[in-house]
Amino acid sequence: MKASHRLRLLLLLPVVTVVLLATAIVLLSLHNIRGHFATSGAAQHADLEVIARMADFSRRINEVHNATISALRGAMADNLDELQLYRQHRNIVDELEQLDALVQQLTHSELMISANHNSARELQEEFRAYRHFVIMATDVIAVDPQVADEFISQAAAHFREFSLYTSIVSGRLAERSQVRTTEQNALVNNALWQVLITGLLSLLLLFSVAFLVARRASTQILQIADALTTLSRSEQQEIPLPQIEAMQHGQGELAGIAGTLLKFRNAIERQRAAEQKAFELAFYDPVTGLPNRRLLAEHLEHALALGQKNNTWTALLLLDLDGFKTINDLHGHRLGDQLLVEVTGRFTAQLQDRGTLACLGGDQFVLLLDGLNGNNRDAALQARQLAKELSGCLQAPVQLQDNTLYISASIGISMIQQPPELPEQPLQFAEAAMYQAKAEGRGIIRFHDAGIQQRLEERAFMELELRQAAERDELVLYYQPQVGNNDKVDGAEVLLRWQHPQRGLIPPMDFIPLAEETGLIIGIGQWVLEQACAQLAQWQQDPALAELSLAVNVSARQFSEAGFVQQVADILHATGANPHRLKLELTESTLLHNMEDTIARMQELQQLGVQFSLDDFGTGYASLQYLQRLPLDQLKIDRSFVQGLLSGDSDPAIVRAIIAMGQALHLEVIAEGVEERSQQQNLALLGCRHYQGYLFSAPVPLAHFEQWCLLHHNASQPA
Amino acid sequence: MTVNTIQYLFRLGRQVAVLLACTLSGVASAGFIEIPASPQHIALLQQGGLVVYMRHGRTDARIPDQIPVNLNDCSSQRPLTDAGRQTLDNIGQYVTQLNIPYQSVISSPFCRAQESARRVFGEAIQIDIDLRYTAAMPAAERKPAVERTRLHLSEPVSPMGTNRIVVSHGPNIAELMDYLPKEGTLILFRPLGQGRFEYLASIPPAHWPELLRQWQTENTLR
Repeated sequence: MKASHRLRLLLLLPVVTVVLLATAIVLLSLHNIRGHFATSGAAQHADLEVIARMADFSRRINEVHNATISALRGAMADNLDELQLYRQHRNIVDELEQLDALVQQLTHSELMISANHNSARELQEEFRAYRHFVIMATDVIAVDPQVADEFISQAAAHFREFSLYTSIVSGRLAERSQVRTTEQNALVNNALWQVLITGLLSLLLLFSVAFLVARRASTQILQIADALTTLSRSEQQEIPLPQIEAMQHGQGELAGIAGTLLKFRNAIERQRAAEQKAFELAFYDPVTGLPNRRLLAEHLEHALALGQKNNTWTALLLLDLDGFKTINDLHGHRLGDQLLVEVTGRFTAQLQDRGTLACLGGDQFVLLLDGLNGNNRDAALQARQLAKELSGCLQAPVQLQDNTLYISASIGISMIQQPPELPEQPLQFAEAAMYQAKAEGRGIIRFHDAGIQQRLEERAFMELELRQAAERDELVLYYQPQVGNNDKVDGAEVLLRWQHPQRGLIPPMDFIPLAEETGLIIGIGQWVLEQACAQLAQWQQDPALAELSLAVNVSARQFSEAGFVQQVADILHATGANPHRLKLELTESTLLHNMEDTIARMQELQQLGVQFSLDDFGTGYASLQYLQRLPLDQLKIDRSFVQGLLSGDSDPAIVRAIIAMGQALHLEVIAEGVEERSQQQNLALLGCRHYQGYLFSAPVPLAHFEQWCLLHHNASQPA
Repeated sequence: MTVNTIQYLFRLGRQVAVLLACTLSGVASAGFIEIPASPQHIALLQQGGLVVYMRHGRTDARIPDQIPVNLNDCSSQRPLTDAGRQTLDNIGQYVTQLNIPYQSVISSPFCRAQESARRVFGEAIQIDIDLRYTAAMPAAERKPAVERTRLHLSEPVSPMGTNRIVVSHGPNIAELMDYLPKEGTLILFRPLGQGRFEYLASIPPAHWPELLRQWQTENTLR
């Protein structure tokens, strides 16, 4: 059977059931009522017949009586002969016989019995007596009318008697009939009520049954409707329909429809799966499951648009496994694919969602980095950092099917800030860089941009050279004198210079940041301290130089290095230098980095006798509160204030305030960058007592400084 | 059914009864004429072959038949009057005088019929129960009596030269013809067989003197 037919049957079933059973009830009720009416009607008919017979009897007995009277009169008046009288007599006898039968019937009728049998019996007896006398009368009427008259008189008495009974019986019959009619009507009414109530109850029952059937059906239909809505709206790959599945295994009429619906659902699911598969094939690499070239292009477009808007950099890293073709050839594509999956796993784990990893097919991976902040160099550094990490995670050999594979990747990087003229350009650039890297060997990282490449190369080279510089004694210390009032030499600041064999003398600002970035500063700083302390110890042997102190710059990284205090103590102990002659110069940024720790270290060193000077004072954000807490000995006014003082760019009030502040805190104040005598004079007027600068001497090698000291000493010596 | 309706039916019944009485009296007046017997009839009787049907004698109406009547108890039956008995005895003398031949005398079982038969025709009588007739006899019982009477009137008489004497009641004849003879009347019939008979003449009690006179006159003339 078709599902529509089944459904139609299911929907019609309750209605048809109700209609059929209701019709049956109505027919049964009608039959019942008709039976009651028929019984009642028959009873009433019988009663009416009895009453009619009673009336008939009354009429006929009157006729007989009248006939008797008239016969008597005829006989008396001699109007009638004997034959006529006989004939009348005979008719009367016949009529009376029939009436006797009628009375017999009446007295035995149901109505008469139920009405009043005694009256009826008396009526019968009176009638018989009457009949008797009438017959006797008419019998002799021709013979002797006088005698007949006597009999008739007696008959008349009986006639009156039974006439009375007749009327009584008639009345009772009428009453009884009425009562019986009422009873019958009551019975019929009862039957009607019974039928009505039974009918209503049955209909109620039927309706309930029909309602239940209909509700069961409609519940299932609603569930099917819900399922259809779910099917039309769900965008999930799988569409669970537990109710429909239950319905399919159930016995309901709609099980077939539920089955069809589930088939429909399964078809949709298969279609979705196919669409998903097609989507993956279109946008994802089948082996690694990573986005493919097409999806990468979309990501790149989006990243470039975002980068242009936010003025950030985008980097494209193309990674190509070295010697993958060889592995493929040797071990087969199957293993090659497994290797790619392994590499994908390592990359993904390493990246932790930094950037977008894609696979261009084969052994070529691409990492897209977007939203790189800072300038070109910083962005490039971040890109290279990630490239190094990715290279690093390939260092551990790969174990596949009892094969130990050593792999590496050649990485080409292209940096983009503006959307390229052609969309494929960034990838082409990265590819070019990658081929360049490949040409240079295994595991090489190359940038496409020549400038970046060069700068990064230079930096790397410089790092290498700086590392070697200490070993090659290319680092040298220069000394710049610090003088007090009356040009008395207090000491010197030790300044680091790199005597490069090819490039000559390199100023600190060109290599100190690199040394700090790379951590080389720690080794270099220690060397400087050793040199300075050794020099102090040496000067202590010479009475002319024994009073000199040395100021050494300590970088933040060096100062925060664990064991720095111990290092200083060791050096002082090893060299035998007087700690009071060693002055460590710290910048404000060093102090602010980790203040509590810094203060603790400074106090430890101060206990040793080491002096502290705050370098570049006034350029940072030093506040009185922390100045008070720091165990400082000296403030160094930055050269910018000193030079501004001469040109009028800076307010003398600021310099005066700095000096006053130093004095209030009982700190020595020294001005650096003093180049002219007027500057010194102005500073002196403002309260400054110590100076450093070209006015006195440029930073010079040790030998020159010692010579200058001796000359200056002599010159300044009050003769 | 109300009392009014019943009263209406009573009224209607009375009117119909009056109508019925008029009709009955009208019918009875037409037709039959009693023929008084003549000496010729006596002659026929003397030849034999006739049926003489006699209604019993004069009765006393004050003592009617009891209903139901007891045939074995004469006191439950209407009796003959003494005058009636005298008349019957007279008639018996006339019958003897006229020398009317008869062998069998058939009588109704009623006492008045038997007594009448004996007084007129002598002791030798035959009782025919089927000839009985009562005023209260209904139509169904009446019919056999009438048929019995018809049989006696129509069957040829044997032996030859005698007459059949039947003594019974008036209504038996009234049922066969429009004729109710007076009590004590002799009626002469010629039986024709097969239920048929011919009425010849009647001799009511009052006619006897005249008949005997005529008969004597004729015999004298002869």
